[in-house]
Order: sequence, then C-alpha cells, then structure tokens
Amino acid sequence: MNDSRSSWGEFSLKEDWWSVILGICIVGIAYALFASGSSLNWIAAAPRPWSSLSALAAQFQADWSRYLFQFLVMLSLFTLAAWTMGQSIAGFMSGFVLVYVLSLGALAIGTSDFAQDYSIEPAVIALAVGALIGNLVRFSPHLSEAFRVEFYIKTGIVLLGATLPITLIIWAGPIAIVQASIVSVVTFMAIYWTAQFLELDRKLGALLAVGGAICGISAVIAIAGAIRARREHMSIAVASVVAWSIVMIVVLPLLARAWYLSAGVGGAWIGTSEFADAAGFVAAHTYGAFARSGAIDGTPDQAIWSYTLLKVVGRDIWIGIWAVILSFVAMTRWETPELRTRVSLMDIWRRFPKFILGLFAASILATLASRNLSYTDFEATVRPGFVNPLTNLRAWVFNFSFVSIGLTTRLRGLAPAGGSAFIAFATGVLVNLVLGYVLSAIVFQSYWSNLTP
Amino acid sequence: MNCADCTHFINEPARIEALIPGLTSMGSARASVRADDGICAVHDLMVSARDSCGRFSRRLTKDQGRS
Repeated sequence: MNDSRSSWGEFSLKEDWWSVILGICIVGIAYALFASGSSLNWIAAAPRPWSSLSALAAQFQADWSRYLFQFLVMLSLFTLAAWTMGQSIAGFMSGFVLVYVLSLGALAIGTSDFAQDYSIEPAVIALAVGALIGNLVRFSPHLSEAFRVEFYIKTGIVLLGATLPITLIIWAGPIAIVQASIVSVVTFMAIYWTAQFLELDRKLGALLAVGGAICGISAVIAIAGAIRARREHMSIAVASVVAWSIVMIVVLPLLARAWYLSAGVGGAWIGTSEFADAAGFVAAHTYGAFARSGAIDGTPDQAIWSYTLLKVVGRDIWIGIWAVILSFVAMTRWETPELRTRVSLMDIWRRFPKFILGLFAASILATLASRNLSYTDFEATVRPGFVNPLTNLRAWVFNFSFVSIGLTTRLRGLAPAGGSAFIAFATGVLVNLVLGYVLSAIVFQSYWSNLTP
Repeated sequence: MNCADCTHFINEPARIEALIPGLTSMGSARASVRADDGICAVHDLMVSARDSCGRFSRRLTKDQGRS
C-alpha cells in the first residue's frame, strides 16, 4: 500500500489520528455513561493489590468475564485501526494476544504486596518481561505486527488527558515550554557542535542532535526527511536514541531518588532529560511508585503530570517547527546535489504529532465533567465513576507499549554507532542531565513541587 | 515527476521499518512526524514525496502493470 498524500490518507493511515479516535471514543463513552448515572467501571477491570496466589486466583475467578470482554473490545478496536492502516489482521490479532497476556501478567505481579513494598511498578515488569522474551524468542514479522510501541503510548497519552485537568495545562504549560525550549536548544547545540568538532557529517550531527534534544526517534524520523539524510545516518541516530533511552529508564529515577526530589520535580527532570515518550513513561511510573511508598514527597500523579507537561507539551509539540528550520538550513547550506527540494511551511502541520490534540481534547472533556464540583463531590462521584475507569484503561494501554518496547528492542540488532557518534550523543546526554536538573530542581522547583488540579 | 510517483520511492511503513534497525523500538514509520517522506532506493536518502531528481522512473499502477 502506497501512502496517500490526501487528507484522508493522512487521517486513516497514521497512528496519531487513530490514537485520537480511539482515545476520544473511550473518553466520550466514559463521559456519556457517567453523565447518565452509570460508569465504564465494569469493563475497566485491572488486578487489585494481593498478598497470596489464592487471593489473586479468587480475583480472576470473580472477574474473568470482565477481563474477557475487555480483551475482546481492545482486540477489536486496535485490530480495526491496524487493518485500516494496512496491517495484517491475522498477524495483528495473534500478536495482540501475546501483548495482552504479558500485560496482564505484569499488572498482576506489579500489584502484589512484594512488588508494592519494593516500589516495583508494572511498567518495569512489563518492560523486563518483554525484553526477556523478545531477546530469547525470535518472533515472525507476522506476529510482530502487534508490537506497536508508539501507537499504544499515544493512545495512552490521549486517555491520560482525561486525568490531566486543562487548568493545570494552562497553568504549568508555559513553564514547561520555557524549560523544555531552553534544554532543547542547548542540548541540540552541544551535540551538533561536538559532532562538528569530531568531523562527523553535518546531517548525521543534526540527526543525533534532534534525537537527543527534542523527541527521540520521532525527531530523527521527522528531521531525516526534512534534511534528506542518508539511511545509514538515520540508523546510527536511532541506535543512539534507543541505547541511551534504555540507560535513562534506570539512571533518571535512581538519581532523582538519591537526591530526594519530590514526585513533581523528578517527573519534570525525566520529561526534560529522557529521549523517547514511551521510555520516559516507564521512568516516570517508576518514580511515581517511590511517591506511593512514601520514599519521596508528592503523589504518583504529580510525577506523571509533570513528565507529560515537559515531554509532550514542552518538547514534542515543536517538532514541525524544528523540521522547517532545519529543512531550510539543509537546502541553503547542506547541499544535496542529487535532488531538487523545497521547503514548505505546511510541514509544521504535516509533521505535527496529532495525538497531542487528543490529549488536549480529553483534558477539556474531563474538566467539563468536573466543573462546578467541590473537592468532596469530585472525590465522591467523578473519581470513582469517570476518572478511575479511565486510569485503569490507561494503565493497560501503557503496559501494551512497555511490553512492546521489550519485545522489539534488540541491542545486538542496532546499527553500530561508532566512537565519534557515541561521544557526540553522550556529550548531549551529560549537558541535558545537568541542565534538566538545574531547571527542574532549582529554577522551577516551586512549580513542579506544587502541581495540583 | 515527483518522488511520490517514482518506482524507487519506498514509503510503505512496514518496508521503512524493516530498513531502519531499531525504528519500532521507540518509534514508528506510521507516525504523523514522517509526513509523506520515504526512502529513495537509488540515493539511499530519506526524501520528501514532493522532491524530484534526474533518476525518476514512473511507478506503474496496477492497471498499467496488467496491460
């Protein structure tokens, strides 16, 4: 199937729009049920805390029909989207069974007393189990159709919008944009100039720089097309982002925990210094678990909110503008003699990550659902009837993504980056870490510590 | 005469993902950020569907292929 350049092609063939459609449909149904005095709660089954295998078995025995119905609905929705985007229905469905079962296992283990006592989040378990299986078993490309890290994480982000009040986005969004912009520009310059100093190709330097400074692999894909980069250089930039993203999933929460940063501040630092959205959510969930156990100040929600504000609102949203600027630089200064190219301002919209519109729409819808309510009324009605079911479904969809990261990440399969590219990217990582810490934990500390709806 | 109509232009997401190791780990060729870019099999570059070059070779449609 050749991608259509029509608006309909963009709408029906891109994961971003499908994540908006699925996410908003789920939020809309949840809102309609809530407004009519019912709830989406029955279908939003998820394992509850347990202390013995018999207790867990009793849970599943009581709720098996809810899980079965939930599985069938999710299978139908995601398969419909995959089929419309040109994927194999049989391949996607068989792969999705594996993704769902592994996610269920991760959620069940993550709610055990043992995991809760040691702040081991389902996110980490999902990633680890996926990586273990993915590196031991070689799946057919057919089955891998359902390992869609980005699709699941974008759908989860739209659902997340329903628990992120629009008032909070309006209040903290500008700070997130200022902080993220400072870090993005400085990190870009650090990587690009180091790459120049090491005499790397300018376009490779630019790809490494956007991968480290803006939004990871999404930025590499967007900018590679904008500057007409070599495929080999894309592979090197992708390998750098994947390897460092995995490292940062471990390093960032541990460093933040060691320095006793509050949940909101830690989430902001992760949002500033992690590279890929999905990897950052694993780290933010891990840090939120420290807050749940009382090891740090704040709440798990604050870690997720500040991470989302920094990463999605502060960094991802600007990718189209970066693409147009770098496209102009490439056309005027980095010649590609074999091609006739042009720059179009329309690329700002074409490359805009549309799932962010879904995040905003869900946030507005949820804010409307709770307007004019006191805190007590919100906790008594909106939280159990509207917010909690969506939070459970979001946890499922995020875990689909985390399992898929594990299943698809094979470090041995990545392109060798070479010493110079490694040094250039590592320089950016270091600059990003230090600057991200200073801005999150010192300059804007009061904002990120006090995130409340 | 643009890349979009050229036989050397690869913009099927599955083929792009197969050509870039690690792309699906934390990214996707089905994302909006890719717009209508694809890989040129001649130059081995990521190019826009609106680009052009002297190596253009028109892609046959299904109907043309049968005749």
